[in-house]
Amino acid sequence: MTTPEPHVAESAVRAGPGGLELRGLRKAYGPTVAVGGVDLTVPAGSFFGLVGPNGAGKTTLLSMAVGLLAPDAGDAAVLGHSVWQPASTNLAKQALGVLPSGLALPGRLTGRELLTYLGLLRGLTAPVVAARCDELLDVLGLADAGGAMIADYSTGMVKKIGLAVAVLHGPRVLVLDEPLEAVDPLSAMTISAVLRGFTRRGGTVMMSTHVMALVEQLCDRVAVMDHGAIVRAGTLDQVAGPLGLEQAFLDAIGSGPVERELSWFAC
Amino acid sequence: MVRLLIALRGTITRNQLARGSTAAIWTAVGFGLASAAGTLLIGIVHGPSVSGSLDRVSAVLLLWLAGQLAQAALNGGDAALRPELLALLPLDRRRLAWALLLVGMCDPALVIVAIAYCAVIAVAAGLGVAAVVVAAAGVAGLLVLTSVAVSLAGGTLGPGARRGRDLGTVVVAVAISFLAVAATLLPGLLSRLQAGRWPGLAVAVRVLPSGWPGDAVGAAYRGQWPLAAAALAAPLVLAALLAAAWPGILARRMTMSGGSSHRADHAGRRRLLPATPAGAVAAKEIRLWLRDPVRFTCMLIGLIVGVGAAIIPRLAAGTSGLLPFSGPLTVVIIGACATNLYGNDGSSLWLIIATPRAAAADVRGRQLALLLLVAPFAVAETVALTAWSGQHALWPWALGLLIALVGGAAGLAPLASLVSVQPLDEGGNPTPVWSLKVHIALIVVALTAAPAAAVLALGSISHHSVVSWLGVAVAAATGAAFVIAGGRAAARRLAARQVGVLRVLAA
Repeated sequence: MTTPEPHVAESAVRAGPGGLELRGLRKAYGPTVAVGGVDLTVPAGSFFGLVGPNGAGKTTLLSMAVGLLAPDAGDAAVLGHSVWQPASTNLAKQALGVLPSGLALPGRLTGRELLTYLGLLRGLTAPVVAARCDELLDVLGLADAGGAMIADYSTGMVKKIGLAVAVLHGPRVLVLDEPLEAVDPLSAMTISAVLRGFTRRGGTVMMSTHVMALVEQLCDRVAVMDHGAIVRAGTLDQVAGPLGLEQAFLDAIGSGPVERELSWFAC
Repeated sequence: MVRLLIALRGTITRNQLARGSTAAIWTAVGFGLASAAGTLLIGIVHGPSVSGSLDRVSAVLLLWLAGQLAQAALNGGDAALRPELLALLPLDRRRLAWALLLVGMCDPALVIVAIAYCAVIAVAAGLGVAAVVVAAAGVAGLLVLTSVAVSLAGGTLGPGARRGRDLGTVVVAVAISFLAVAATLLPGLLSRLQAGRWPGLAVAVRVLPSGWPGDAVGAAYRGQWPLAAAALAAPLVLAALLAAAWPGILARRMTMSGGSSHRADHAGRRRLLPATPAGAVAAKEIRLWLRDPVRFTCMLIGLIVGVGAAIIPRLAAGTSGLLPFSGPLTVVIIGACATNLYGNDGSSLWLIIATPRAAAADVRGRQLALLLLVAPFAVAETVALTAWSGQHALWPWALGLLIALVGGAAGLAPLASLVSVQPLDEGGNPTPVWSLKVHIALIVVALTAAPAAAVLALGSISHHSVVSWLGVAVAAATGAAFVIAGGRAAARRLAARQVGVLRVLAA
């Protein structure tokens, strides 16, 4: 058994002004603590990966961070603006783009109709909305699906239109919950390219995922979450170490290699 | 397999009930039991004519049977035990089909239907023991037929292909509309049937399957035992024929592929609504009202029932008094259906939460969409039918109630949509509690016209047309007040509670 990597102190993450700061976020469902008082800083301009096993609390944490789920305690701040304080929540949401997991989009609208509706709802002018719609649908490969309703989209198309929704208004911080789950490789490459371009221009991305290869490819910082707590956080090199991110992840959650087989499988 | 499927359905139902609102569910059950008890009372309190009494009960049982079929077609059958759950299992389709039919006969909802059907037994109670035995057998046979027919109705128009489901929903909407029209005319129909004053309708209700238990009781009362036996056997024979077709229908449903629809891409198309946040919401809402089957169904039902309930008495009995009220009735129905908009939209509410300052625009946009959709055809309907009625003294009533109700419906819709939010079921269909909320909303929406109606009534009683037309002014004032105050209250409530509402919808 390998020696676990030493836990990286939270203070090492605070390398610059926070694009997204999570302070003491906590959520319990009855006796089950889904998120137990998480403090985390996503530096501005970073591409931050949040990894963890199923049920670790990633979606709950991100939902509280972006204002979609009321925390039992704690707060989140986007570029210094509190998400949960009434006086600053609108400023936070103006700077924030969100791609949640498990929440619906209006299936009876086409992709263009959805983007037009949301762009105008955000106060963008009609010409700006139209121009951005055209560019987004073209860049994301959805131009040919202009007339199809979202209810008929494939999984990859839904993720891409969701990303379009998140970036339409020009946010400075993106929070994406499993943006590439069940997405085909071509769609994944498209989404990755858009996100890399976003961070190159100074944007901040926080992304949850199960795919370690994706984190190693895109992220410069990573946090490992397990049982509602951050068990390891830091730069990619700090967390992955010499053994690689997947081994570091397994060590962080206290799991060894899985080699079990099912007894009724034929030899 | 039957025991396993019953246990599976029981587990799913228990988990669904645990996640839902207990009070709302029990209220829905209470409503069903009250309706069934009312039907039973129709059988208990009947006139001296045996034939007339049986005709009356048969007419009401027809509404129950048709209602069960329409509900199943709208919901795609059993909400807990969807056949699609079992599609990938290597089960013999014929064996599965028979098992699902038997499971359907164990549906607790059939208890409520059985209580209603016992109205036949109540009529037979005064005709002797033999008549009661025949009535009980007839009710049992009709229950079997109902259960089998419900399975087929759900399977035929079930949630397989989305386009097929959308079309099925529209068909069901038309059927429900005609049922609702018949229900509104029920008291008059029943009294005519009891008195034997409508032979044609009496024959129609007795010829249909819901009338066969009544036919059996009547034949037994007259000593016509072969006819009684035939009437008892008929529902079972029909059930057997339907059951024979069920395996094929089930197989088709379980392998139905999802079709996609394609709309023209409207890039560059000229906007008809202002390019403002509220205008954007209104445009979105209008599209959803026209494309979403649940909403479109409601509009269709409102239009058909509103027009049908007024026109049928005119055509059947020359009664013109209801024609001016067709438009107001349409508005009440559509307004009631619009009291669960956020529930119908599901977890897409997150888009509003994630957008700064969107709550007020969302509320105003929804109100604007409702006004734009409902007002034009309600006005046209009211003007045309009031003119046709020749009831010139009723113009203030027609216009006053219409204006009050349009404002009341638009004012209440977003606010009521944030009270007791009812998510659709996993298949995107209305739940029984959703239906209950809409039924209650019918009364609440109608009450928004109460102030105007009071002034209109004063004008009619005093025979002062000035007072009557003052009622129209009162209607305009109350309508506007409901729109403005209701919208403000809804926007405040949405801004304050939107995260909590999302939690309910995303559960």
